[in-house]
Order: sequence, then C-alpha cells, then structure tokens
Amino acid sequence: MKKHNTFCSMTTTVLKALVVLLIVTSCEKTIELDVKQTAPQVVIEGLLTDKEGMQYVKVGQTVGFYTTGSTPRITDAMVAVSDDEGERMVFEHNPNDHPDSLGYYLPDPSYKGEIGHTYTLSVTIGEDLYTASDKLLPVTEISALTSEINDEEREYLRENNIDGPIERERYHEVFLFAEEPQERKDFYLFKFYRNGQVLRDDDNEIYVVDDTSLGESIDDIPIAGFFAPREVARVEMFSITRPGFLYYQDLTNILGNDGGMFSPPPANPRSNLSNNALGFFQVSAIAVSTFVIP
Amino acid sequence: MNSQNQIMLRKLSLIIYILLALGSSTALAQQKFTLSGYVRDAKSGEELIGVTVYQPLIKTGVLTNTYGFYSITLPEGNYQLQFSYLGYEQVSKDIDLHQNRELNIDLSGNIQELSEVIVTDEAIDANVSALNMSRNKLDIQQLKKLPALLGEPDVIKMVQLLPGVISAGEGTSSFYVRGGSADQNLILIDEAPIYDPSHLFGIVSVFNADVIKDSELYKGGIPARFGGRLSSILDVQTKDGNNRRLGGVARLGLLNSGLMLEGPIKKEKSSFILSARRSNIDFYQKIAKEDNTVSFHDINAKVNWKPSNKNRIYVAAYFGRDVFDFGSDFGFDWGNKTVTLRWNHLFNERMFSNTSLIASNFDYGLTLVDPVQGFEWVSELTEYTFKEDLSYFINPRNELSAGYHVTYRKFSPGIIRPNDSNSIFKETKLQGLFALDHALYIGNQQKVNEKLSLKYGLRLSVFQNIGAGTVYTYADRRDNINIQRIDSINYDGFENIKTYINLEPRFAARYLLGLHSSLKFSYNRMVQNTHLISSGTVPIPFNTWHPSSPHLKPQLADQLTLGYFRNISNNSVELSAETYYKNMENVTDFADNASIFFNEDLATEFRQGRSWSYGLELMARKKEGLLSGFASYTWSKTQRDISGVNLNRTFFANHDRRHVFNVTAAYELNERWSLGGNFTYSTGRPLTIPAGRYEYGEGYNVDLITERNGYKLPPLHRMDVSATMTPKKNGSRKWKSSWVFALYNVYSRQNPFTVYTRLRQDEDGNLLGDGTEKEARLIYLFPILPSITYTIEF
Repeated sequence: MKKHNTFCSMTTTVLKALVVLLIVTSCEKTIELDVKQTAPQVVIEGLLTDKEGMQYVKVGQTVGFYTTGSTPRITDAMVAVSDDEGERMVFEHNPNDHPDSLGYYLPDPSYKGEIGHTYTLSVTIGEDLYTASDKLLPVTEISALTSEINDEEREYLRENNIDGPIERERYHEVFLFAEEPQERKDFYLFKFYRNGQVLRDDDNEIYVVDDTSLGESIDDIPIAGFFAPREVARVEMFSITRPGFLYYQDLTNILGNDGGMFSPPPANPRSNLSNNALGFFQVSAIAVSTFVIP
Repeated sequence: MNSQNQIMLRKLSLIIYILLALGSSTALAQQKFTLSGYVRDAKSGEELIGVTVYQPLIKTGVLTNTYGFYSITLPEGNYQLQFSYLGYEQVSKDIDLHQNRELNIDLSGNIQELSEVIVTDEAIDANVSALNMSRNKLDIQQLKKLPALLGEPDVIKMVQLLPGVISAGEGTSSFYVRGGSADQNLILIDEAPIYDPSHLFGIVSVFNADVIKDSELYKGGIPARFGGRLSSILDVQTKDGNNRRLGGVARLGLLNSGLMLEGPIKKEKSSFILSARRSNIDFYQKIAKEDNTVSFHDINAKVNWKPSNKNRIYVAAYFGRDVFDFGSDFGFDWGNKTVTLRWNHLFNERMFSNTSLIASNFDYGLTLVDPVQGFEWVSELTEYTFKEDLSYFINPRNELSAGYHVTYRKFSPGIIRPNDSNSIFKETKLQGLFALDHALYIGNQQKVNEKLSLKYGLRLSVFQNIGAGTVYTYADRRDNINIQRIDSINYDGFENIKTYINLEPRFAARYLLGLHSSLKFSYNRMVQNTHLISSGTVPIPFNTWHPSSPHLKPQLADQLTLGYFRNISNNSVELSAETYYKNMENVTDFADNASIFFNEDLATEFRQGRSWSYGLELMARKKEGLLSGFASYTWSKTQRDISGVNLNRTFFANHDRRHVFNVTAAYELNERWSLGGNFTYSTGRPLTIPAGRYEYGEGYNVDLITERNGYKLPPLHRMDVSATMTPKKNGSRKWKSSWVFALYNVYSRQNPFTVYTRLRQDEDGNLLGDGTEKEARLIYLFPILPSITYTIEF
C-alpha cells in the first residue's frame, strides 16, 4: 500500500499523477544507453548539527553510469570546518579505523554547532580546494508521536498472506505532532527509522517541507511505513536553510525524473559547494523523538 | 514614447498613405463595376472559404474570404465566371456587368460521387498561383476516413503529419512548428484562443471533427491580421449549421461517443449547430470495478443569424472538461471555455467588416481529500478580446485589410486552500497578473502583373503589463537560491507596469515561372507576449501562463522562407519545396532545477536567450481522384543558446528532430469500401541522459548529468490502416451509416516515449547485482490497437 506523502512538495504530486497515468497505458523495457565517458567528479556530503556525534563529512567520486560496485571514496583529503568567529575544527579521516567508514571524516575531539552561526567547510584534495557555507537555524520541537491501527494495511497484510511473526503485525501507523512557528521562514528535513533502520515509503523518497503553505499546527502527520507492537519509531527533524531545501528538492527531482517528457530535463542538484563539486554541506539543528509502539 | 517608436509610427503612417494613394488612383482610372456575394454549400447553406472565383478570359481570379465572401471588380462588360472548390462541382455563370451587382452562388458537393471529378485547368492551381506559402489546409472529409488513434479523428494528429511540424511523441496534442516550442502556436476555435488543446493529456484534442468546417495551419508568411505567437497559427472554424434542413451525425466509438445536430431556426435566415462528445472510459472502468475514473466531455454550439445579405451574426461557444478521479480522495480536472460573438457587415460591394467579441478561459484544479493533508489547488486564465477587421477591395489588383485588436488578460497562477478544518495547510495565493494587448495592422495584397503578386503589411503590437500587483526588484534577478528582494513597487488596478512596443513587418511574394510552377518568398516578424511556464518537453494542463513583465521580455521571431511550387498531371498533383531560416530572440526557458509551480519569485527562474532553426520541407499532394493524400519530408535543425542553461553552451532544443517523413493516403476502392493509411518516421527526440552516477546520503544512487539533450531517443516509426464501409442500402434511406475499422501501429512497433533510470532490478522489483547498479528503462505507449467507429449521418 502506498501512503500519501506530505513531505514531498505538491508539484511532485502532480507529476506522480502523470506517472500513474503513464503506467496505465504504457509498457517499458530496459535499454542500453550509449553513455559518454567523463572524468570522475568529486562528491562531498557534509553534516554539521547542534548535537554531539552527529557530524561527518564524506568525500567520494562519481563513476561511469554502468560501472558496478560502490563508488570510490577519497581518503587523503584535508577537511576542516570553521565558524563565523574564526574558530577552526579539523576533521580526521576515519579516526576509529572502521572498515565501513572509509571516506568519512569526523571531528576530533567531538564538536557541535550552535544556533545562529554560519559554518564554512573546506575540503582540499591534492591541489583542489572545495568550500561551502551553511547556517545553523533553529528547529521546532516534535510535541508528540502517537500510533493508531491502520485497518486497510491490516487487511492488505492478511490478504497477501504476510506471515512473518513481526511483519504480519506491521499495521500500526505512527503520527507526528508539532507546532510550526508562523513568524519565521522554515524548511525541514525528516528522517524516519524503525528499530534504528532508515525507513522510507520508496527508495528514492526524501522528506523535505517548505512551511509556506503550512498552518500553525502540524497534527496527525503520518510518518513513513508501518510498525508492529514493541517496535521503535524514531523521527529526526532537521532545520535546513533554503539552499538545503532546494538541494533535497532537486535531488528528489533527479531521482524521480521521467526523462524530461513532462518533468524538466534532469539536472544536477544545486550545490552550495564551490569548484563544481557535487553534494551538499548541511548545517542543522535537530529535534529527535522516539516512540515504542504499544 | 521614445524616438525609436516615433520613427516606427511615422513609417507606419507613410505606408498607410502609400496604400491609400495606390487604391484611389487605380480605382479612378476606368469605369469599373463590382460583383460580390457569398458562395455556399448547396446542401447545408454553409459558407465556403477559399472558393476560387475565376474569369478565364482576362485571367483574373479572387478567393472567397474566411466568411465565404468574394468581391471582384472588373471593367464594364460581359463575363463568364467560374466558381470552383475542392470536392465540389464547378459552376460557371454568365454575367452582364453594367452596374455593381450581388451574386450568391451555391456549390454542390461531389464527395459521395466517385465517377465525375472535375479537375479544372487553372482555377484549381492555387498551390502554384496563390500567394500563400507555408500554409496547409486540412481536409476534414479525408481525415474522417483515415486511421485514428482509438478511432477518434483528430485535426491535431493530422497537423502533426504536415511538413515543418514535429510531434512531441505518440498520444500527445503538442506540436512544434519550424523550431518553435509548443506554446508558440496560436490555436484558435472561431477566433477564440485555446490554451490547452488536449483531452486525456493529448490522446485526443479539443477539436471535434464533426463540427469543423475549415482548418488551416500557417507556418510562415503569416498575414498581418494574426499575431501574438511566434511560430504558427492553427485557425479552426466551426460549421455555421445547416440553414435548409435538420440533420446531424451520431458517432459511436471506442474511446468516446458524440452527437451533432444542426438545422434551420428560420429557413435560409438563421441556423444552429450543437454537438457534444463524451468519453466512454469510465464506463469500462465501472465494469472492471475500478475505483479510478477518467473522463472528458465537450460541447460546441453555434447560432447563426443572417438578417440580410449585408449582415451576419453568429454566437459560437466551446466548453470542454477533463475529470480524473483516483478513488475518492485524489482528483484533478481542467478545461477550456470560449465564446465568440461575431458580426459581419458589408458596407458596400467592396468594403467588408468583421467585428468580434471573444472570451476565453482556461482553468485547472487539483484536489486531495484528506482530513489532515487535504487541499484544493486552482489556477485560471481569462481573456476578453475586441476585434475590428476591415477588408477593402480597392480593385482587382489590390485588396486592403486593416484592423484593431485589443485583449485584456487576467492570469491567476494559483490558490491553495485547505478543504478540511483540520488540514495542516493554510490558504495561500499567488498574486494575479494582468495585461492589455493592443494590435493595429494594415496590409495589402497586390497583383503587380501577370507573374508577380505581393502581400505586405505591418502590425504594431503595443503590450502593457498592468496592475494591480506588486513588482519586486532583486539584488540578482537570476539568483534562484538566495533570493533577495531589494525593492517592491505596488501598482493599482490598470496602472501601467511595463509597456513593450514592437513593429511586425510581414511580406510575401509570388512569381509565376510558367503555367504550372512558381517561386514564392516570405518574411515575417512575430512577437509573443504570453509565455508558457513549462520546462518539460510536453506541456501539461497544469502549466500556467505568464505575461511579458519587467522581468520577462517579449519573444521575437524573424523568419525567411523561400519556396518552389509546381503542379503536375493537370494540377492533380501538387509539389512544393520550401526552405526556411528562423531566428528567435528572448525565447523563454528556465534555469536548471527551476521551481515553476507555485513560486512567488518565478522571475528568478526565467532564462531567455536565442534559438534558431532552419530546414527544408518537401511535400507532394494529390487532392482528387480515387487515390488522394500527401507525402511530406522535413529536414530541420533547431538549437538554443541560453545564458544560464547547459553551462551557457549551445544545445539542441527538446523538439529538434533531424528527419521526419510522413505519408497519409485514402483510396476509394468501390462504392462500399474506401481504404486509408498513414506512415510516419522521425528521428528520436533529444534526451538528457546521465554520464555517470554517485552514491549520496542513505542509499541514494544519483545520476550525474553532464550536458542537456546530448542523446537521441531511437527513431519513431509507425503504420496505421483503416477501412471505411458505407453500406449499399444507404442509397434508399434518409440516413446514411458508415463503419470505420482501423488498426493503429500495425506492426506494433515499440515507439520510444521517454527514458528514465532506476536501480537495476527484475520484474518483481528485486534488486539485481550488488544493489548499486543502475539501468535505463524505455517507456513506450501504444502497441497495435484496433478500433471501430460507427457513424450515422441524417
């Protein structure tokens, strides 16, 4: 079962309706594209928050469209973040020497940002310097998470003979409540987890929202997925800047592009990084809430 | 007003003076009389457009105008005049011309009779002799016999087969003329503009073939009376209604059904036509017990009143709507409404006037019914036009036309309203935009000598973006990330915000090379002040329109066309070769990743630049005989150079297609059966594909884009066939029935519609390989599709 997604913009709703139509009347097949060879490009993914332990910078590269395997990570970059008061924090490559964390740079010692400050990331790879700045904006608190049985989903699980001991009980929907401050302009990014695992309605879904058309109370917003009793739902709500919102919106668009028929021609997301690097340096305040399904 | 505009105005007044002087001097020279009147269909009383009225002795001819009216001024004497029209019996009349006279002619159609087809020697050689170039008349009778997608004959699908026209893909109602984009076509129904010609996202167009009297596409050499769009005019006129007897057509098709009724209100004086169509899809959906319903319907109505031979009035209306409902909680709809009130008045034998009042509206809505996330989104565009057009037949060598048009346009780009008190949304509205669009034109069609004819004109376009509204000034207008408004000015209702004045010269010449061939040349400048906000290849009904404004300049096009026209086999086969070059300035495009929906700072997304296109178009057409139809080939290239798009590098336009080849033909097998067929081939449309990929965040596998439109989809080709059966017993009945059996895409070619990418997976959605691999998927729409349409005419 597919859920409504408030967190994606309404424009994608329109395009999705079109895709629904297309699927009704169309067929498809896999084809081989004669793609052009291009030099690898640098990809930087940075996160700096107001909570300790939630900062990292990941540096990697692009590969050819048909190249298989994980994309290469860059492990010998020089990474540092400085704030608007001139304080500079060096990020070390994989300080814990974790084999899965190649290409990840972490602050050492631990570090956190403060609301209202602007942070600048600099990444030096060989001769090339890549920089980006973003501002740490306040986030509104999550006032509550609640859950309710979703009858349609229960029916769906029954009809489809889902019989895993936990899976067949995953028909509880979790709802989010928050107050949206009307006096300031806000953008939010949401991440949902079930028992610590990222949860999305679709692999390509990104949950960002612009408060322009939002009223004061955000009540009863269903989060992604369904839960079984005793499972843990976790919601992370990030404050993001407008460039951050646009980055994630662009990322959603390229992930769901129809090839430029009804949607615009696919384009790389607008990054805040200099020197043509791909990716984004995101600075956020975080509100976190967890909830155990009764 | 600045000095440049004053110079333009002075030039214009000089030309008007020359034209008037030209008219009066020749008119005074000799004792001449004028013969004028209307030419009509004998059966229905419908006025016929473009009938040749020809005098063989002195080789002088005129055509009836868009109102079926002709006027020919000749020296005193006795003449034989021939009236001929495609698909009709030729009529000859002997006239004693010793005073100004009125003569109305009825022509009988010979569509049903197969044996006697009169091919006249010169009067029917319009391909060669007429001044028109880059202009195609669409044969509605033939259209109805040709195979159609899902059995619905559609004018726009035929337009897409013409030389110089490119279609966006199968099942769309968008077309692109000579490098112009889809919004650069002015689509008119009884002079009223249609802002979105699609039903079902383009599978069918808004034009109901049962009510169309005449339709014509102008691609170049556009007369001064038309303006407002850069690339083409699709001028569709509906029937006036039979003023002699009650009749109609009932049509039962696979996709939709329709009924048309027409008849006299007062015989010979007034008539009506009423037609309605409705789709059948939701009926099948109900049978299949589906929650979703998809439907469209439209209505055409016209009342025609002729109080005297000097006055004719009609009111025509079109109303159409598409409604899509997904279950009970999500739906959207859109539609066009138009009303035209037109008054034709004949001041005297030589002066003809047409006064029109036109209203047109396009709107769409989107509704999500949900206690929490429910909202309703509506957007609308309304315009009102007053038009006064005058034709003055100075003498057989000169026909002057002049007019004034003014349009008021109101754009309401969008309102979002919560539709439940618990909704998280609040009402949000984008400010309305307003425009006044004036045009003043004058033109003359002049026969210089036996070989050379000219048509020249000037159109003065005065466009005003007016209040009420607030206009922002930006620190950097092109920065769509960190938008900084540095100033705002509030304007009251009708207060002038920005004026754009443009002079549009139009010129066409024809030089006869012999009896059967001619050279033609044309130049036209066009200006467009209404821009479509769409960044995809195919516009969707949810796109909005925007007037020229302080941040959006008018689009301009200059087009040069040269053509060679030749008729062979006694004028039964028309050949033409045209080559064009079109340069377009300030073509409206959008930044990469532009937010074009519901954006208060839309101005920051506008990117305007240059586009240019050139091409060669060949066409062969056989109009009469057992076998009729046309074949066309177009070679063209369209590029764009827009600062801020594709890293400022030149790129191919979305609608660039190098080769397009089309054949469409009908063959009368015998009295019962006729056959029809289409074949189309075109180079694939340009596509932006990834050069690479990268991982980002928690498991997103993102495409890397390096250039816009750097790849081409595989070519599109398709063959359709149809057979029309007219039962024998029709002859003795008061009503006639016919069956059209058609096969669309006979060899079931998987024609590419678009390509998207996803993680490599099997049919059930299980990831293949190590889960990082991507693949490209080609979407194709229609396999072989049979259809049956049953029609009753009475």
